[in-house]
Amino acid sequence: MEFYRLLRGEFLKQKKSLTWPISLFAPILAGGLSFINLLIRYDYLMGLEANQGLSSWNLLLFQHHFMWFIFLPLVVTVIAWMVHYIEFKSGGLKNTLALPVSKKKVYLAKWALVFILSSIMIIINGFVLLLVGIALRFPEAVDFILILKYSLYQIIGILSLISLQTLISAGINNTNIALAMGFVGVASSLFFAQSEKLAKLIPYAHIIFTLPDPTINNHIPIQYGLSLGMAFLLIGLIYFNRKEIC
Amino acid sequence: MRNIFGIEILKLKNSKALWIVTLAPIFMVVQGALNLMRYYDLFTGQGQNVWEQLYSQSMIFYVSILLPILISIVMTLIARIENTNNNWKHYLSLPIDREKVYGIKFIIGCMLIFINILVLISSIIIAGKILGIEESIPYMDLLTKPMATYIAAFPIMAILYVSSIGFAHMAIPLGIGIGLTLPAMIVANSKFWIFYPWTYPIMAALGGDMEIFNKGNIIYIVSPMLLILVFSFGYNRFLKRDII
Repeated sequence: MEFYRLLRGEFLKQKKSLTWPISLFAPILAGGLSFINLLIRYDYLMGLEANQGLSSWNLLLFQHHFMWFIFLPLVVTVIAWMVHYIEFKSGGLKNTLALPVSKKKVYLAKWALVFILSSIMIIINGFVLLLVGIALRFPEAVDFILILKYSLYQIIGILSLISLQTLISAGINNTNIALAMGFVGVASSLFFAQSEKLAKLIPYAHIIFTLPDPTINNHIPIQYGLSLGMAFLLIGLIYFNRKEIC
Repeated sequence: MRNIFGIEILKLKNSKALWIVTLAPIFMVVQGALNLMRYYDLFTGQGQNVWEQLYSQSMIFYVSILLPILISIVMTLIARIENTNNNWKHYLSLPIDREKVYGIKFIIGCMLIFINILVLISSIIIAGKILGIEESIPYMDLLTKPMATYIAAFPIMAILYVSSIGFAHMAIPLGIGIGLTLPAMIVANSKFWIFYPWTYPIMAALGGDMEIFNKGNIIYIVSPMLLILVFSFGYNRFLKRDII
């Protein structure tokens, strides 16, 4: 019960902040760009030798993923930062923790808020892709399974990044550093992804492997996104529980 | 004027802005150098210049993603203290010249980005030496291209600075910075690139190496013009700004 109250409190804190508009607008912006991209270049892209044998839905996901694998982690980093920035800005954390509430639950509520917002963003992204395909009148029937797989892999794959950024944002008193670390990590994610061994251990690279395609190892986000997500969450809980608030 | 400059620098002391602008390019160059090492044969197998390859590998993500995002962070940090708890009203009620405050804050932001570029250049040279590249260092390319990138980034700096001063919430300039960075690579491949300042650093940094980004010198004319235009717009708004 205490956890739900804390979570509700977290949602209330974000009521007038920009986390909601960002979460809702980000997939619409990315989807809009993919729509324009395919509206102009559909015939050209379908004619490329590299895209031979791809359905229109696969092509849409390929083109969209090229932006989304950067956009999603960046926005999640910003959301994790904003959730903690509110506390550091107003010194609210020490007020909350001075009350008889469990530190672990406070941390968990913040983590859950970032996870819920990220999941909403990923689900909206799936819907936007669906609408883009319908608006572009693809000749093939809607590939629900493909979009569902894509969204599900992302929800699992993003866990590691959420846990890491929540840990960094909560752990470093200067939240700007947490933000910068996240941005640098995301900007280098494609480098990390060139080595599967390294990509498994780097949360910033997990989202790259969420595109449902036989050439891409989707086990990385499922196995390592989930396990590293849980591991970083656990480390965060232990760390936050011991952290002195003064 | 010196006082304002000193105070503004002091405000940034705890923001770790200097650390951010210094470490970020080092990290990108390390990534680029490691990537070059991994695919050394692929990148240099046809007799390509190794320095050029190291430069391209270090620059491609730096210039298209990291630099514009770093500019967003730096410009946001510049106005952080004043935007927190609406401290502008205290600051602007003091007997100081608004013109100087506005100008100095921007100069400091630009200086931090300049440091970022200098660290990038030094890191590439050091990385090349560590890798043991035998060819002579192409100083002209390694110095001029990042400097040209800096000039090409003027409009981004101005737009994000004006947004940081204009909006009290830090997420807005950050959101603008990130949101406009993403389509840059796509727009850079289109004929509309000139209308999109986020493509200018890409053209300036990668123009010589990649045919598609070769767009001539028009950027260096448009870029300062846009800087003056956007900065003047923000400046006028700032001068007319209500204290309360």
